[in-house]
Amino acid sequence: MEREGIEKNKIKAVHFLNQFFGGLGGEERADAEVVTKEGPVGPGMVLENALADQGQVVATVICGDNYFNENVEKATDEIIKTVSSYQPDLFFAGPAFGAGRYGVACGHLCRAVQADLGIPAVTGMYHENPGVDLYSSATIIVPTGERVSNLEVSFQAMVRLALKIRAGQALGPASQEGYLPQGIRKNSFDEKTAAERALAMLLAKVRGESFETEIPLPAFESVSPAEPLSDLSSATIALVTTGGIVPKGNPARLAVGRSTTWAKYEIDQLSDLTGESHESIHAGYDASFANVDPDRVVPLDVLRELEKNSIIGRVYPFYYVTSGQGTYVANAKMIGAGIADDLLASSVQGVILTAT
Amino acid sequence: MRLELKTFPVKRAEWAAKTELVKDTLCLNRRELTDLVMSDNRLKSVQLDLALPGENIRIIHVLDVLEPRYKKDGEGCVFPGFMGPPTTVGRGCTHRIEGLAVVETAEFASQGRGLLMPWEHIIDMSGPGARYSPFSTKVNLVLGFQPADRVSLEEYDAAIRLAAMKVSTRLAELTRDLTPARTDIFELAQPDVSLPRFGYIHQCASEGTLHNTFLYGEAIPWLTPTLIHPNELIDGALVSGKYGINNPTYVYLNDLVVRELYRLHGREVNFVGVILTTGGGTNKSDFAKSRDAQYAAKLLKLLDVQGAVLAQEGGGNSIMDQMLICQSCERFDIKTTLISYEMGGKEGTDVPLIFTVPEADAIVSTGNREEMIHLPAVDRVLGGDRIWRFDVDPKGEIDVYADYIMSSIDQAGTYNLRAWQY
Repeated sequence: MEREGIEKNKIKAVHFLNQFFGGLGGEERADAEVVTKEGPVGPGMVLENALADQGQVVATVICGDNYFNENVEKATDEIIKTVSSYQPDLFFAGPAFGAGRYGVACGHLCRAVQADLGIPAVTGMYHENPGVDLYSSATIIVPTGERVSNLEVSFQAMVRLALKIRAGQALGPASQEGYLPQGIRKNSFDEKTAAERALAMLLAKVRGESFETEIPLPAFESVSPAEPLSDLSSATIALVTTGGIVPKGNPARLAVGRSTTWAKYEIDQLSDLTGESHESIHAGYDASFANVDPDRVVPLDVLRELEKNSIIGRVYPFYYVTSGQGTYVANAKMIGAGIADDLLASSVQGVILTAT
Repeated sequence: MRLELKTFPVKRAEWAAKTELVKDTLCLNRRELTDLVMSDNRLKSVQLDLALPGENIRIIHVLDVLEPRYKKDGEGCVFPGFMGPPTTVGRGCTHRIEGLAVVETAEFASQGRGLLMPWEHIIDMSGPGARYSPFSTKVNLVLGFQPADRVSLEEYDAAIRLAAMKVSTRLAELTRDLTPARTDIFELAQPDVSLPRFGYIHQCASEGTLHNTFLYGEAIPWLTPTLIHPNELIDGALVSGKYGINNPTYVYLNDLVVRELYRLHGREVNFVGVILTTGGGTNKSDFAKSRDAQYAAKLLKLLDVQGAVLAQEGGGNSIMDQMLICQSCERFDIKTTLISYEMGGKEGTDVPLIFTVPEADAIVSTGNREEMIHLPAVDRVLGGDRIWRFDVDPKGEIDVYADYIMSSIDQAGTYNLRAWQY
């Protein structure tokens, strides 16, 4: 059937599909290079129905799952150029359902289209698709089932969100608007107080009815400890603290909490830390004891004794400090990595890390 | 334990020749109230100001906030242990003025270091910041204090507390012969044995001067979890002297979990009682936290409780305590719901809870305390000259953490700020 052509005043959308949905073939065509077709292809018709009178799919870009994942930069560049040539208002990819390589391609392309072309881009996939972990914070992903089904529902959701983004309207919370969480939590006001909601939730829980927690539990990384030192008596041990003990006057102006930086200070000439030489800047504990004797938080005195008695080989001539109070996990990781890098470049074998 | 609580609403206040309550207008004689406060020679001066809803006023250095209440009939007094002997309260008849808050503000010259520094707390009476504090809709009688010379930090703090209580009591007593707008009866009689038995575990931190909670007049740093009747909270047996991340006395008096449990009592639940535990950083070791968590859960178990709401008070430590209490309860077969704020960082992308237990599957959010709020410039500031920690001019535009706004993230669940997943 001959296509009528691109109508004026209608929103133009470009749609990305993999080789299977694009009608090129199955797994055997996963290496298909980029192909562009005019108008909608396959499920793209359902997308166009979802756009209804408002818009049309002017072109469909198709690419094999393997070709994309093995030539990410090249394929993305090519697809961006093609998309750009149509000057569309919106970009849609997938939905990819449970297909991992496809999901990754969809996410990657949506992010690129938004970043390079400034065009609102939406995709859809199953919440366990690897594309979600990689791209959910970069682009809006509508949740779908694992298997191919409910295309109409998925496209309706994708179109609704894309139009909202295009209109510059702020999206509401993920569960209300129907997209996968992007890892951001924002404050606003509920109709009911926390106390009322807590009792309602407790009643449901006690009665065995369904309820939804408002703060899903974060999963903490499990870190494997390093191997124990084989010979302590020859080891160089460094002192690291999140207890905020700094030379008096806080020369590096370290923050009292919510830290993003750390500092390193010489202790080569010192046998201990005193209330005259050092102080605590940490905002999360009663610092009066630490200010009388900072060894209580950074035990240089004891370490020197162990050094003198050859229990340890040597005290590293520097100690490292930050304030851990209220410090964001992400920043703590960054600070830890920074200190670790510095320690690795030296001859340190072991660390005494004190926290408060 | 049967308590009648009579409510007298106030919608406005003004300075007048005579201190009296006329319908819903509170008339205040400045001289009289000043003299009442200044009878305490630990104070050099007090400044009294009114801040009404909608006014272009920012109140800073907010310490504790009280609601005027006094005991009209029955044993004891409101704020037992302070305004009178530590007589058991929660019975008889208590009058309260609704819609008015007595707000303490002060600076402390030797503000302690680290943990014992008071935190900045702000109330904006209008503008975008007003919404964040439940006190922006109240008529606020703001007391600004100056200490007498050579008064210790502890004495100054105690003097401020007593002054605010004296003023609160005096105002509440104006209702003595008036007709209340509303009477509520608080009584946990006739339990229906078929209904699930519910309890409430309420944390109160007590870590030292400027960070203390008081129970019948005494600070409670070594509190082993204990049982109280909810009416004791309504009569002010629990008083806040904590100026950090905490619940002010106003919240203890008006505890909403208690209200909700009373509302549901006899119909859907059997409200059994309240357990007080320590919070914040009061318990500083694994050992102490674990000991108290299990102890609190055990008390509920002895009361045959099946469901418990867990509130918090304090910083990150209080989240740990709450999680351990949750775990202990669930292991005793007591189902729990937690009320907790979040620490998601400025962008809301960081981990919201610093410590969790797998049993904590029912949590209600009171918002990300670290989200930044932009406050516009204001015409008038009460309470001080510089915002603490940020050290900026409070009259100008400022960006503050959500938790700087008084009771925005209230950990006892009295407010409705919440974080949502985007």
